[in-house]
Amino acid sequence: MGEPALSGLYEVSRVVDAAFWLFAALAIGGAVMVVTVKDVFKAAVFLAGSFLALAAIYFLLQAEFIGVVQILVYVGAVSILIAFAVMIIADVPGGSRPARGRIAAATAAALMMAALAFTTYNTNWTDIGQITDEDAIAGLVGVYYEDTSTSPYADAQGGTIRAADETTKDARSGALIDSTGAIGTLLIREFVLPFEILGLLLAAALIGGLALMLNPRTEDK
Amino acid sequence: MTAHDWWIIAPELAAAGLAALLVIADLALRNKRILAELAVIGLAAPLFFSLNLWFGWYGDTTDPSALFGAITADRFALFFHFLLIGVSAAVILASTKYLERMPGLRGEFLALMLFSMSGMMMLVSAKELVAIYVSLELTALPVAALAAFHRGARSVEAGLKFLVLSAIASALLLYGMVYIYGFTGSTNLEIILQRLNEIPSQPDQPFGSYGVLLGVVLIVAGFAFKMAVVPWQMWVPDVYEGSPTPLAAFLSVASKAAAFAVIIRVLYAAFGSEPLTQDWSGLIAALAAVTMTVGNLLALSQKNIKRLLGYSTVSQAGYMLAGVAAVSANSGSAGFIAGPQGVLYYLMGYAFTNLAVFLSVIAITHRTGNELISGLNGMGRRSPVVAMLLTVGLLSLLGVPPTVGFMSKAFVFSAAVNSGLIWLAVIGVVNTAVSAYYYLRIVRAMYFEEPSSDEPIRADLRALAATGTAAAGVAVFGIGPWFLLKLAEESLTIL
Repeated sequence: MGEPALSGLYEVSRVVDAAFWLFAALAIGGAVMVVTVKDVFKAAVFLAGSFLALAAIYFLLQAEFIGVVQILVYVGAVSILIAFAVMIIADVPGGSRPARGRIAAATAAALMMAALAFTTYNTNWTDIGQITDEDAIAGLVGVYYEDTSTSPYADAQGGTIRAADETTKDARSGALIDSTGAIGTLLIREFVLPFEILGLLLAAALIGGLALMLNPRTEDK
Repeated sequence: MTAHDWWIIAPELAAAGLAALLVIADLALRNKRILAELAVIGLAAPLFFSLNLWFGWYGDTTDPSALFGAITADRFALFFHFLLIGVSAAVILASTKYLERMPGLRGEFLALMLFSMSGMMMLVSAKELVAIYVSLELTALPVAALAAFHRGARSVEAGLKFLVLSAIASALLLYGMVYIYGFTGSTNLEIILQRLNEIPSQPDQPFGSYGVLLGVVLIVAGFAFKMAVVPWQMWVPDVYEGSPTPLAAFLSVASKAAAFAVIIRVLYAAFGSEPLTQDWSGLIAALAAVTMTVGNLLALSQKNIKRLLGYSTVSQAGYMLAGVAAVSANSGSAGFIAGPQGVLYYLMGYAFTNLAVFLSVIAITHRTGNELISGLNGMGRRSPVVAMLLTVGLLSLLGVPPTVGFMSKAFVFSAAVNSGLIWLAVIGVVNTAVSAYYYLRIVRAMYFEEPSSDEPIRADLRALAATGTAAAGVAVFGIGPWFLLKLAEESLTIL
């Protein structure tokens, strides 16, 4: 990119870099502890820590909404749920049973990581500057963009929310983008279908969970 | 949303609405026996809306795409709508007796099955990666609950195994989608295709870029779980054995068809441009060869009929993958759609075939309570009609002319040969010969072994009707494949 607007951010970016490496180390270190530590409850605590570090990385990436959701849902709900389950079910001081196939699992995880790392470093992630298609830029920076001339919704909505050239300019200058607003708009427009399907999914999960609890136990023959 | 959007998603909405309605009806109705009939009759609503979209009777249906291109009601999607609705109706009809014996919660059983079906309908219509992923979860989650429905030890094991493995598969799928999104900046399949053509590719890297390579590999791996393709075959026999048999029938046909539909759509719509097709064709061909061989070898030593059928569906998935891999080098030519056309025909034929087999097995094991192959001994005498229907289905699975199974294998293998995958066709034919051993073992048990008792087994009339229809389809579409072939060809106009 190399636009003048970016050079002013250089000082900030070194701090951001340092913070990124710190939180990345915390996230990975926490995840490693989760699978190696014997006490299930401690593992749950480390998991919460790993989730928190991930949330910090989301904030660094200017995805503040995802960061907050990460804390609310994963740290707040999922970790607590695991802690409750541990309290009710497991024999906590005794620790979990030694997992079988540890070496195989570690090998598989290492291979997966190697493949992901190799691909990430060797892929020519297309530079925004190389693409001239304005739709593509809007897509890459995740900012809502609509061409009213072709949209069947143009009349109902009354014009563009964000013009394409404006989006392009924002993206090129590295300006802060309101990701929360963009997510909200996307959820009720482009992604309204997945959003509604999630409602069905939750209903099905609820019915399934209740059915499993209430159904009398029988051995299927 | 415009009126047009409503018409396009009407089939899926009707299916989900029917599921919700059944839960309420279960509460309100005193006579719970009619719930299954209600479900079958209710399936007419999604069927009607799908037919409407095919023929364009009511509403504005000229543009099949709706909701910002997230969903489409093109012929390809409608083809699978018909298949899914038909399979669900047959499975529910055949398991009414089974449901009546169930101690409680029949409404929920049917509702969960229909929720899963509505997820599959969305899966085959979705044209956007996020919608595809979410619909995939909607198909899987109710199935996990259904597999554990009886709460016995084997049942819970089946449910848990399905849930955990499907979560791992989802994670792989999401990873793949993230790579594709990161590389192209879009989750819409059509835009991905367009971007992949625009973005300069690296000639020294497979798929034009390592990012696309890993993305496609992970996406295929994620769907492979649903298709029950090696190395994801391990859940199949356990889940089939542990879960209620109607669910196994539903899974083996409907779930597999939806997964094949979505993989064909993703591969052709997003990665269907020229050099890419040859890259993934090799990948799928290798997967096909491994799957049919491993499925067959594992099936050879099975004693439980449901486990045997589980491994049999694995090897059948391998044959179908051979059709997916058979993409000819020159797009636009007449032979270009031969592979997918073969797969669509195969899936329709397989639906008839496998339903005939599974529903016959339900009819027999439901009475005897014995799921071993030796439990079928002498069924040729004890239950001649069901034994005959089962034999028809097994011969079609094996691929004996003039059944539909023979024609499907012929189409798929010839498409493979025409696109230069001769080695794959040879492996397929050898595997077919091997599979004769275990398919014919069941037939031998029914007709040449002494039964443990001479008491005749009478099947429920509704179950017989469903099984008979399936078996009739095996024969009719095997002798006269033109109708189905035409249907498949028309459905593939999107490619």
